[in-house]
Amino acid sequence: MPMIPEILIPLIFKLGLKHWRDTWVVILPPNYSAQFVSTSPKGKAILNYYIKISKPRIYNPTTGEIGDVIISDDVGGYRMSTLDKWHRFPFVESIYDEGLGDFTITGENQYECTYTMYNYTSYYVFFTVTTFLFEFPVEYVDEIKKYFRGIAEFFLSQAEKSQRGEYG
Amino acid sequence: MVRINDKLKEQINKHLLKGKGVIIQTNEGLVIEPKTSADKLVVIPPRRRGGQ
Repeated sequence: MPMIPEILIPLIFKLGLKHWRDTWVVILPPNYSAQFVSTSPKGKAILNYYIKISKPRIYNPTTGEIGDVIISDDVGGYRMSTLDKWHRFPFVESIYDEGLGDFTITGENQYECTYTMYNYTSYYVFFTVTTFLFEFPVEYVDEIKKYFRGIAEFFLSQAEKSQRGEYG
Repeated sequence: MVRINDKLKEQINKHLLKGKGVIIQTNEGLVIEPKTSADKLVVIPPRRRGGQ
């Protein structure tokens, strides 16, 4: 289970971020791909700091059975957001064994996250995705960015002082 | 062997067999929707259980 990044803990108490998780059960037909967007309800923003994906398994629509694991880069997705470059994540061991560290903010249309899910196998595929989240009012997005910029500026100024020999 | 219940199977199969993907959400709080009307995806909202 992923730990909450320690750098977020001051924000949790200062801004009252609410922690929760969402799990999606995803079933895709054979030879399929589609795009979707994820965002937050009006007035809310979400900071996503971790994603865990299950092993993709074969789904039998006749019996309802969920069977063998498929190890293939023919099942997976693409993803993009404000802080996340458009990239592909095939559902192979190096992805679903370790999970994906993340830092995505979604909130109203300005901060939506775009996904493509694909299944180029000849099977129906079943998998689950759990995202680890903090929720807060969308007005706090700028405060949160300011917090991280402030940390960076503090350490950069310390580095400059050090280079100038101000610390002896 | 894991098997999903008949009610849910019926609910998802009617979309899958038309070539549509299905996402079942477990919580309210994220808005998930197809990017365009051409994207064949059905989002099933969370089933209300317990304190939801």
